[in-house]
Amino acid sequence: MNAHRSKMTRRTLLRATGACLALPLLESLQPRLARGATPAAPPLRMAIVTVAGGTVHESWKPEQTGSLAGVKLPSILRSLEFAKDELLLLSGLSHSGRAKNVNAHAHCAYMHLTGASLVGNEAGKILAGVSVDQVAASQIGDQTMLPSLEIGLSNTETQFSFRDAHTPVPFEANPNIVYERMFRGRRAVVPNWKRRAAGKPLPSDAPRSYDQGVIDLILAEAKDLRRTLGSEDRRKLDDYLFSVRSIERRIERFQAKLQEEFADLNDPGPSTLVQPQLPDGSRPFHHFKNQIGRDPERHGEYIRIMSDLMVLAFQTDTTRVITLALGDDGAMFPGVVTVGSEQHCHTLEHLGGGPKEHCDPIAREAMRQILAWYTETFAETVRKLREIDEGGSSLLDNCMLLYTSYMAHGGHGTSDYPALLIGKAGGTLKTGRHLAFPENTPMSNLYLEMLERMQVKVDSFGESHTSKHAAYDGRLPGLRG
Amino acid sequence: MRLFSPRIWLIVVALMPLSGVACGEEALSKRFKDDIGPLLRMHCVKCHNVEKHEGGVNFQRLLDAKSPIAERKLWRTAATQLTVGAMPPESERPLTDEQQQTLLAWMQAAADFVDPSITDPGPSLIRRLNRVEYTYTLRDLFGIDFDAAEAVELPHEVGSNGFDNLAAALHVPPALMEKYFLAAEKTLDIVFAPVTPNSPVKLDRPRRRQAEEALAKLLVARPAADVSERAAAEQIIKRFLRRAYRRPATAAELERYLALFETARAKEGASFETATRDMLKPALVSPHFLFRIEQGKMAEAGYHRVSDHELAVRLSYFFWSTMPDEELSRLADADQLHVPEQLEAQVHRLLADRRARAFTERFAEQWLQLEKLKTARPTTEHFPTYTIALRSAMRAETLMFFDKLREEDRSVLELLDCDYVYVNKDLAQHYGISGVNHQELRRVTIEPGVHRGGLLGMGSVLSMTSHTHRTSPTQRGKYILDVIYGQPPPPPPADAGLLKEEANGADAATFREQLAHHARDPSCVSCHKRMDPLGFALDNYNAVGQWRESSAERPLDTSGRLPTGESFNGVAELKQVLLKHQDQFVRNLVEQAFSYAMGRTIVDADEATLRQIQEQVAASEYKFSSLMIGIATSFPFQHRRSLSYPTEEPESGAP
Repeated sequence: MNAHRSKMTRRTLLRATGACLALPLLESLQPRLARGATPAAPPLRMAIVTVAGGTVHESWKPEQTGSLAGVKLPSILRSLEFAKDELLLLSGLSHSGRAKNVNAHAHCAYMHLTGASLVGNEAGKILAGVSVDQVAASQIGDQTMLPSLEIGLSNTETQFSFRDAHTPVPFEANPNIVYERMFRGRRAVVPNWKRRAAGKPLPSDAPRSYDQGVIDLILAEAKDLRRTLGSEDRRKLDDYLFSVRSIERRIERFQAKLQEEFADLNDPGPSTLVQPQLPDGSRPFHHFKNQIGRDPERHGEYIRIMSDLMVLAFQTDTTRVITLALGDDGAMFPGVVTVGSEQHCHTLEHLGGGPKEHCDPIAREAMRQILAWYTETFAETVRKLREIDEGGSSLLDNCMLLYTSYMAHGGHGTSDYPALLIGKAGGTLKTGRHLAFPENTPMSNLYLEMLERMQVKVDSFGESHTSKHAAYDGRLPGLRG
Repeated sequence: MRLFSPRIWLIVVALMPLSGVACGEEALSKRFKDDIGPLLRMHCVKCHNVEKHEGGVNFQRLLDAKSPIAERKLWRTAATQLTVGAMPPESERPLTDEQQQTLLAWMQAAADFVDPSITDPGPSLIRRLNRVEYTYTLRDLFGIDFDAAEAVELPHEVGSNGFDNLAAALHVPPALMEKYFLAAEKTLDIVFAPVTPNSPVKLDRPRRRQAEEALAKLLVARPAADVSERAAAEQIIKRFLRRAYRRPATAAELERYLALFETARAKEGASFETATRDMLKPALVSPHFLFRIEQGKMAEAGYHRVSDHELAVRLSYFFWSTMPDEELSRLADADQLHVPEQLEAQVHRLLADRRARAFTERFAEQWLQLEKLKTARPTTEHFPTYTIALRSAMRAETLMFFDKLREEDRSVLELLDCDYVYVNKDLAQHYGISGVNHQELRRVTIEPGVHRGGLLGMGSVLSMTSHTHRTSPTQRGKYILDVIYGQPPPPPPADAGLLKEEANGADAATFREQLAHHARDPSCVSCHKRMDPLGFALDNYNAVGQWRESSAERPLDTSGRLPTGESFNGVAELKQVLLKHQDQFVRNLVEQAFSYAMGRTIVDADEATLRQIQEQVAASEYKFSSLMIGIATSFPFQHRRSLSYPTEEPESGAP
């Protein structure tokens, strides 16, 4: 058994070396398992699922606050009725950041996950703040294969994740590439959390890899170069150095994790792997992407694939931080929208979003239809998470999903965002309720609460303590009940 | 971010009496202290102060500033707001005519003030190759027909408020770096496939031949009786780095690569070829390849001339979006490229080369915002002939129009008006031009009755500025202000709505009345006053750019009057107005192309350069080549700020 196991390990690693062409393997691969504390229970995962278009408040927010028992969920949320006991609806949360040199979509998008007090564009440089997912990834990201995943549809204006105030993190739209990032050189396996908690790590017998030479050479070049550059140029080069080093670190992590997953291969956890129906990789992705905007059937298919990738990433513990951007302001919704003659989402957002009294009722109904359609696809994801058994608890129990939108409503609103937490967050949320906070309570407070649950140590986030509407010492009281 | 410049709306300002406004820097400063500051304090600072800075404007901080004149952009914006009567708002104490004229005259003078001696080339950052540049460079470096960027799906840069080649926005996130590693691997796999046993890639015959040829060019030396392996490897890497780094490699750099070669060669089963392959890989992920590096230097003047190799790189990426060719490199090696006659000859050569289509396509696509055509809203449901084929012909027409300006060295003013179009059968039909039967786009001379010629008659421009089933005069007006004149109106307020057709349709007689109703809010009026008249003049074109004499729903009203007092009716008269202000259009084109060439946004220090180029263009009958030569021979294109230059840019217009 041991011989077999050792051979398999080597083969797996060799395959990794071959297939992970993008991953220059390290020469000194000291297993770091001793250091990383393996959790006794399945770890907590955090996802932000953000859709386009904001919400239509009267069809999103229940009139009752407190327990939702016996309350019929408003129509946009209706499809989540089955998971009512596992959701926590928060209302009144807002952003109050200002914008500079960008349009209203970019204004909302840059603020969305950063809670920055000033966003925009200055001399070609983006101005935002570090986003909540990236704060989490920077602190807990080294416990998994990938620090975080940013996937789905985003464009020039709708950028959500930022590594620092000026550096947006690109979203990967192509599901095949997302899958490849997750499983290049590695087999998908369901972790056996019980065994991991009890078992011992395997010794490493990784082959010496030549690619460290490549890394060493370019790092040496970059260091020489750095000495001759002015300070602005240095910052550019540091960007490069950061990335090369993060690849280096990722290789280390990769080697260590591979050992652990190898043990799971023979004795995996109890659930079956989710199988995303990836599109045919031999056809250029833009064919598919172009259809998403025109045909809701393809659009739904796309959302399903990306959501499955999210579930799979959590199920295989590939990462614990995911931002999934769904929907598209520019999409058409024939069939989903059954009222009026307009089916272009962005036009409908303007006609039907915003304060109700200013809106065209038909367009508002059309917006409601689109938003309810998004929630239906999300409900499928929730169902899948709930069905995955992690050994006594469901994956949903170990998740904290925030279902939201980058705008509060289609008219680029910034107060009273749709904010729905799903999952018990390892028992740190008392679900089945609607909590209403005073209008303008900073959204940043919620992000701080989420970070705290992810064991991320920060004292403040975004506008949590600096907003003119700062409240509750940057927290949200009552989430635990 | 586009900066404001002397524009159409300032014509009035230019005509204001300048009496009493001395234009020297000192005089301007004194005048500010005596007259302007107090006026601002009295009428403006209530809203535009440190705490409130309405509209992002803060005058308070300027009251005691050392050089209030350095805020060119701010004064332009302020003058525009004053001219159109948007400021001070009605709710505030009005200015007397005399006060208004005093302010306007000074603001105009401050905005126009320029130090004629050009000694600051502006900031220039090292630039990462963008996706297009990376693809072309890799293609030319190896001479193989392999789109590595597509194979690993390098992200398309998003030109946030500008071009996709602006250094400040070109980041290297880890996910991208990984893709560069993968792309390097895949490219070398293909090139070395002919000499790799059990190669992971299978090439068809033409590709295999291509790889063999590439390999022959790469392996310029082989070990032989009198050539050691190391010596052969040295020749190979030396030639390769000169091209990959776009300059000769230093001895220390070569040594690093050779050490790597030797390590690789010592591996079990490694051949000379596989060790060579391993040696080449770091070059493709090196900062010297992925970035356009320009060495920092100390210079007393605060600036220095870029090296000839750096100049070659600036030229080749400006015109071709790729690495310098042999001729440019040779001239750079000989230190001859910067010699004015040589330089001008090279610019002409680069411009005439087919590869210069990289410029016309990349530039025109972004400047004219053609990417928006892909997601233009009009649908076949409302316009059955608006097919994907027609849409792509529209896009091709615009790109061809622009490229022909280059190829035939025509006047850039033809973008505003001309007597020809490029059409195929479908597009001709769409435009109501008879007798065209060819499937490919060709030039067709047209009569005025066809109502085409220039950007404003193009289906591409007209469709992408429309709604699903109707035109949008606001968006068309915005397009003219933004794209043609480079003066985008500020984004609408966050809660701005859209026309509510059902709500207002009954009692408003025309579309114009509806829009006027919608835009009556004072916060909307100052921009709509500028945008809407321009757009209404184009209302004879329907949402997909077909000519119409009337609209089914409401009577057409294509008359317009600008805040400046100029009035017109219909597109023909609008074009006359635009041509009257052709200088502003040319100025914007110069700014846009300059920004693209420099990979950065315009700064105050560029003012004198931009005026110089504009004069050159005007003096050369607006020929396309004069624009390109003007930029390539300008001071900022040839120079770089030295390390001793204080790096922090003064904030302009910021609170």
